[in-house]
Amino acid sequence: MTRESAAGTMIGLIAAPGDHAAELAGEVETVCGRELVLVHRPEAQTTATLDSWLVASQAELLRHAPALLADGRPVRVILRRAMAAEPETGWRRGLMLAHALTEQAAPGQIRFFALSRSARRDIGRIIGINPELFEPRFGAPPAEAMLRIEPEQGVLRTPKDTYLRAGALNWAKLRRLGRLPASRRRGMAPDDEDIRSFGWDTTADLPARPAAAPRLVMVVPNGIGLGHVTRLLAIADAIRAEAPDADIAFWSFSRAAELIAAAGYDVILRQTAAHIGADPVAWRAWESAEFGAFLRRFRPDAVLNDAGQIDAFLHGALRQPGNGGVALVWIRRAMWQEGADAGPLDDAQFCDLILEPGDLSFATDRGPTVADNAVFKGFSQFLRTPPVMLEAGNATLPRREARKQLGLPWRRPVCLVSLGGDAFTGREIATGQITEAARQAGIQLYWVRSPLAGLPSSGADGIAFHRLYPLGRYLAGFDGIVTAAGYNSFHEAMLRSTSPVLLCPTLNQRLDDQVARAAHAADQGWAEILHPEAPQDHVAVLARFMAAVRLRAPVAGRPALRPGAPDMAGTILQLIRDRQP
Amino acid sequence: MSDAMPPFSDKAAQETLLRRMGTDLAEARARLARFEFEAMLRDLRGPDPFGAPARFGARPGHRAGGGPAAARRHETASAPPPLQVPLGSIAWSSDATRLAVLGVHCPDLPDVVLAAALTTVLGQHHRRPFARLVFVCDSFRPVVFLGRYGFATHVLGGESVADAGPWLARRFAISQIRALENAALLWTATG
Repeated sequence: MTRESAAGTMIGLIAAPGDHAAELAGEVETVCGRELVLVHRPEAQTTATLDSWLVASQAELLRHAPALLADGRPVRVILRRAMAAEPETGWRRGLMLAHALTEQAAPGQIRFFALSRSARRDIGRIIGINPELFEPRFGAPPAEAMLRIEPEQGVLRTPKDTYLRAGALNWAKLRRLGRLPASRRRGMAPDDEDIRSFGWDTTADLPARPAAAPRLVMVVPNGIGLGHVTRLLAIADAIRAEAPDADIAFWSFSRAAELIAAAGYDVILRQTAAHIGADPVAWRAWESAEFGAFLRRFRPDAVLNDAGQIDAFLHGALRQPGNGGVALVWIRRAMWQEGADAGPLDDAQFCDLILEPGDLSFATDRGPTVADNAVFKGFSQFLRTPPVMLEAGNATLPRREARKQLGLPWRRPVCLVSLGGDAFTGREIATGQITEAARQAGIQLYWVRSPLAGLPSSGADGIAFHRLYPLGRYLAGFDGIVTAAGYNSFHEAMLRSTSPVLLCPTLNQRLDDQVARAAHAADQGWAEILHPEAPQDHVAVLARFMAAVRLRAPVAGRPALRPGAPDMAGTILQLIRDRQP
Repeated sequence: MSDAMPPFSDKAAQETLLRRMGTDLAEARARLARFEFEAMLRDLRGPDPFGAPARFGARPGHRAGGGPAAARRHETASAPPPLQVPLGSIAWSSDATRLAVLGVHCPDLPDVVLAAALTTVLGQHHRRPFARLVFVCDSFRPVVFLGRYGFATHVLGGESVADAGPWLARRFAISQIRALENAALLWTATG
């Protein structure tokens, strides 16, 4: 699963969190084929598999000197010039103490390096020997686009007049996208100059990453239903269709891991803080550390995250040294609730690409993704595709075959009832009304519930439930469909069935605007709607719908669109190709 | 002389009220645990307690046997402090955090056998919570069910219990891993 390391070299990197020099040095080590392990406390951790150490500053060396000296393995130390707000006397003393450690270490155990020629000269004057230049150096910067530093501290402005926080990206990634001015500005710390020199003003000899099959990680959030899982499976399938050798793993917070594995993908099952009642801060520390370590071993080209926001654990892991080469793609469904918090849109600054799966009801979308007034968009590109649905292994079965597989009667009209991930929460009335309307019309109901949902506690007596995934392939076996209006259920019903559809949107602030989606379909004549709150004669609506089911009259006018997953796959693979040397 | 109750001080009245609220809350939590336990038993006795398998049609390039990634040795050399482990929604204890954390190895058993074994162990856990449980599963099969009732899970996917033990000890402070079916000791942090 891991890309080859150079002669199995494993480096323990000791660096302060957020140290941009370590991010850049980590990229050098990774591109040279070395495997990085981040170590925060060498005195208390198992580090038996390491071959040597890389310490990103004299301060870190002094902090862990007893453990490193006792360990005996080779130590490379990047000596730094004075950092921001570091007093001159303290900086000099730190360098002298670091140098003095060589007398206690085994001969040749500690080697000193510097980030720039200026640093080499200045530090050499103090400790009496010139440190080596940290090599190999980066090649010519791939990006010439000059970034500007806004007066407000820590905010960068791109040539396209978008913004990002200076710490939003791993600087090994930043150097690919834009160029920070390296000339000495008033007040800039010498160490900041050195970092810029190291990252942007060097030439020559960093070896190119060998071209390899695309490798991706799909991060699946814990959703109420299976929308995130299904979309990511569809995209993964489309990537494999275009690049059959692609290596894809799922980092899944959804418990639907068994379904992902059944689709033929590797799955690493995770748990959210809410799953285990963990302190979110502690949970995020674990998740960021483990995801970051996984990325350093698996070395993907890109991480895809289908979610309403980019969790801090994820962009934190991408900022860790050694992970600067990983692109981030945000699969961001639209149709957020009107008035929903637009803050998460600023997570665009962490992303290379934002892909929006199209929505047939986009015309009624009043959520914040439409205007997309995010302040921080960074370098992210945006693309909206046609709706994304699961295709592979979900091809529509002929009516007879679908009925045969589900054990349905040949002649009697049958209506599918699928009320979503949190099925039957507050739906007892609808459940009873649906059952009664079907009985009066002589229609058999086939109830399905989410594979994630438990048995309903009430309101569903006598109903036999089925758990069926994927559902789309069986739709031709039904004469009518009663369904919630989540993204996947809605689009499968609209695009893969000609039978009458009754939409029962769920009202939940955590979910997309199902009411708007369903109302648009009703306005277009594609479906009926059983509105959860508006004054409506539910009995009359259900009677009308069941009559249409009984007639088996196909519904005309529903749109026909090509699937969107191949467009997403093509864009993602192009992004990966563009980043290769 | 009045028959009225002697006047309480404000402080005494507040303490009485708080005690009563605490008692009410404890009773409510115990009732909720009972409710969840009964729901769990209904689930376990149902036709497919662990969910029906996926029914994909033919998938081009399908690779059978997808499971946890082989590179799941992703643990960092810098483990943060252990995470909390929940008691599960079917049980209640006045101070669950004082209960030890125990790994329960869940092998890949036929659904009926697995349901019976879980009924036994979780019945004991409901009546008298003896530990906070982390289910260490050979496959994904029981994950949705166990998660539904608030239990922590870890899927081995080919890794041995002995290999996973040290990592589970760091992540959840697990002291032992025992077999679901007979409580045999499979791994202990003390070796």
